[in-house]
Amino acid sequence: MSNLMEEQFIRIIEANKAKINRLCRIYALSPWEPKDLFQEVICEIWKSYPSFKGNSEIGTWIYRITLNVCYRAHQKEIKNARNTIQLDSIKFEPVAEAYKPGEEQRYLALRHCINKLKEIDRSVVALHLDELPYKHIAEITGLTENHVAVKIKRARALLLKCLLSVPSAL
Amino acid sequence: MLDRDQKKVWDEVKALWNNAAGADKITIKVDFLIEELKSKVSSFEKEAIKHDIERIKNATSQFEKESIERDLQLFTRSIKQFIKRLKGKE
Repeated sequence: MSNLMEEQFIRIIEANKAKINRLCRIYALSPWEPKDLFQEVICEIWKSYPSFKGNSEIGTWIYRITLNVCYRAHQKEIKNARNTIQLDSIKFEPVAEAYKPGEEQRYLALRHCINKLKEIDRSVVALHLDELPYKHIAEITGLTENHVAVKIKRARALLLKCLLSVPSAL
Repeated sequence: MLDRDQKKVWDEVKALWNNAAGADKITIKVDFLIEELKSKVSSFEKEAIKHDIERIKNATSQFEKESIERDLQLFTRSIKQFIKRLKGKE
């Protein structure tokens, strides 16, 4: 990888770290920690970046890689196949008082409800929550835009139903 | 639930989703990251390939063992049937 590409890689990671982390936090189930998934995603982007042709927007491409890594982790493929790389250059620190009172419980309930959805619905809802247009969600998931719209409508209804059934959710 | 209520709840969900990312402060030591990726990813990949080859080897030999065992059982059954028929003709 050339110096220019390395600089671009760093800029991309810095610009997208929050959204990568949002997805990792959803998919992180024991024994996976969000930071393990995050590091795995960074390694995957590093390995794949030289072959990025620019056919899609970089943000869309990042989402696709992140979801692939998270999906594989969820299926326990990575866990069974190999250990993860620990990158000491990436530090995660919990932010004190990041949540307002009761917000953490509500977030955990949201995570619980998203994880109850089917795999494809989970991805679609997560991308929808990140306010991606249907076109981009379709590109990332391989669905048609119409199918995305239908899935979002159904998944939203399921998610709200689940959240309303959890006392601490809303 | 009314559409208006649904929209309100959904907006709350979105706010929750967006705030959650702020619960972690992610600091990346940029210079060190590139060096680390260069050194760790390639050696990790080598190890992973070794591990995969080992796994394929083991899986193949186990598969072969089972396949041979199945063939032998089939062969033995056929011979027994043949002998049985032969005896019946006598």
